[in-house]
Order: sequence, then structure tokens, then C-alpha cells
Amino acid sequence: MSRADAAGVSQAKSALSMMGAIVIALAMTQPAGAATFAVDDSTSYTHDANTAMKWKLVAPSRRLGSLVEGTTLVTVRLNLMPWANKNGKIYMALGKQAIGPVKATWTTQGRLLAGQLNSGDRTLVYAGPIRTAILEDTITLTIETDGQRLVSAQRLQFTFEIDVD
Amino acid sequence: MNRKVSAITRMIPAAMLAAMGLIHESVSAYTVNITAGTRIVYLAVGNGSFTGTLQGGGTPANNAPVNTVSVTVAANVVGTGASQLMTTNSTQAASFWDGFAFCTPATQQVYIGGFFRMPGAAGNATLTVSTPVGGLVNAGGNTIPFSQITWVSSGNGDTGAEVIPSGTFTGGMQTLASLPVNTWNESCHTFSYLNANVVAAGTYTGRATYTLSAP
Repeated sequence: MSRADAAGVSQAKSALSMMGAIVIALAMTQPAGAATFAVDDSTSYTHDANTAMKWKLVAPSRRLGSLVEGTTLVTVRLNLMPWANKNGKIYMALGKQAIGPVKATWTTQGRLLAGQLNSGDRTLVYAGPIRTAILEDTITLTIETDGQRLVSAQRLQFTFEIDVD
Repeated sequence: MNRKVSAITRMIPAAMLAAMGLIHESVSAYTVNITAGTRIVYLAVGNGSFTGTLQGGGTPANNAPVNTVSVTVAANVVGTGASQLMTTNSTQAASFWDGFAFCTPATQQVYIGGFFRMPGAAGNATLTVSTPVGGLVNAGGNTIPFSQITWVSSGNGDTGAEVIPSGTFTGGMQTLASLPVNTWNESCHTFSYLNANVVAAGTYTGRATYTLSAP
């Protein structure tokens, strides 16, 4: 191997090392750049104290034998003051449930996005500039789960979080 | 000095996590309280009623008329032991489960089907039938024991054991089947008169009442 060759190898190694360092640096800074914060929705409220779950089909069948569903209205009020004049993506989230998978679907009056959410996941409900301190919408929320696992009343706690650009 | 270092080392992980957006402040969440599904029990013997279709989310309905099974035994056959097939006025062929032509009324099959809904995956409903201990009675007070009436259970396309199996009335209360929760159960029964006894002429009647009891 000539010295020139050796230098080339050395440069190549150096370049590889630098690339590694850059990749690591990006990985470290990416989350901080798109930080996620919990959104205060303490003034949100459900219109019904309890949501009565009904069998999706009155009689059992092969396909949907044990699903139950219930619908309620929720007035969502999100305090976005900490992120005023920034761009962000707001998500509604529901943690994993002891009763197994829970699916929530909702329609809105237009300020939030309609969507669907499975327990243990989150779904986008707003994306864009934050121009108001309180973002309010009333959603029609339908809950669906396995009636064979839902043997007693359960509390489903929905949360909101924001990814700030 | 040691205390300072200790404090710093405790703070660093929290600061790092906060910078990475992994720590959320605790804020309230709206809560939806959901209740368990309601209990429902449904049983159809002979003609049943359903509003709409099951696949379309239909609802079982009450069907007041009581179907009959009957047979006229020729005088020269009475008491010979020659089993007599009983005919029915039931016209229920389709299963409300999926609309499938499960029973064949033309061959005197009587549809029997039902289900019960209950939150949870455990539990069985009990299907019983009650017939008068005194048997079938004619206008003269003569009787024929209900044990002279038997049925064969089947269903179009069925394989294996029937959920409501073949049997014979015992006179009194008897258990026919145990139906698991949140499942549809159905069979078609074809009734026969065993014709084992010489009895007085007349029309003998009696009612069999089927009951599905859920826990």
C-alpha cells in the first residue's frame, strides 16, 4: 500500500467517522426539535355520566358476535396557550386497556379532525398554526369493544398531546 | 461535596428526558365511563319474528301464535306401535341467524333456536320443555302419555351433534340443552307419535312449553 493509498484510507475512515457522528447528532436533536407535550384539557367534559354499551348486533353471529358499542358527546377544550403562534400537530390518545382492544371513532363540528383511534395508540386531530388559546369542538364519540371482556363499568381516559414543530 | 454530586446526578436524567420530550406534565384527561352490555334472551319455537334481518342489525320480536304438531291415526293402525309422523303448521324455514334455509317445513320440521346475551365469556342458558304430567287429554278425559311423542333433531347442512338433540317428552319438566353465552343455537325437530297404546277415539291435545333460562 502506498502512502497516498494509506492517506486515502485514513481519509475514508475519517469521513466514515464523521458521518457516524453526524447521524448520532441528528438522532439526538430530532426529538428536541419536534417535542411532544401533554395538552391541558381539564375543561373538557362528557355530556353523559355513563355511556351505555349495547350489543352491536342484538343477536350473535359468526362475525360480530360479541362486540358492544356506545356513543356519547364530548366537548373538547384544549388549552393551547403555551404554543401560541407556533405550528403543531395535536393528537388524541388512549392507553391500552385491561378489557382488551377498544376502538374509538368520532365525528366533529369541524375544528378538530374526525378520526379513529385504537387503544394504545394516538390519532391526529389537528395540524397547523396555533392561533387560539382555547381550541374547542364537540365530538360525537363512539366506543367499540368486546362485550365478552367488558363485564363491569370501565373508565376510558383520553388524553391529548401536541408535537410542536 | 458528595451531596452536590448526588443532586446533580439525580437531576441530569430528568433534564435529559425532558429535553427529549419524554416527560409529560400531568394534566387532566376527559373520561368516558362505559357500562357492560345488556342482557338479552331470545327463543323461537316454530314461527318466530324478527324486525329486519340479523345481518342488518335486526331485532327479535314477539310472536304470539303457538304452532301445532298433529297426527290423525287411522282406526286400523291405532295401538300397533307403528310410529306416526306428525305434521306441523310451522312455516319457519329460515334461520334468523343468516337467512339460511335451515329447516324444511315441508318435511314437518319445527324450527327451535335462540340465544342469550350476557357480558362476559362464561355462562350457559338452560333450555327446558314442560309438558303436562297427565299427558294429552281428549274430551272424554282419556289420556295419552306425553312419552308417546318423540322427536328427531337435524338441520340442513349440519354436521355433528345437534345443539338441541333428539329426545322424547317425559311429562313434566325436562332439560333439553345447555346453550353457551353469546352464541346462536338452533335445531329442527321432527315429531312422531309412537302409537304404542290402544286408546279411545277422540282428539287428544296438550301443550309443550319451551323455556330458555339465562343465569
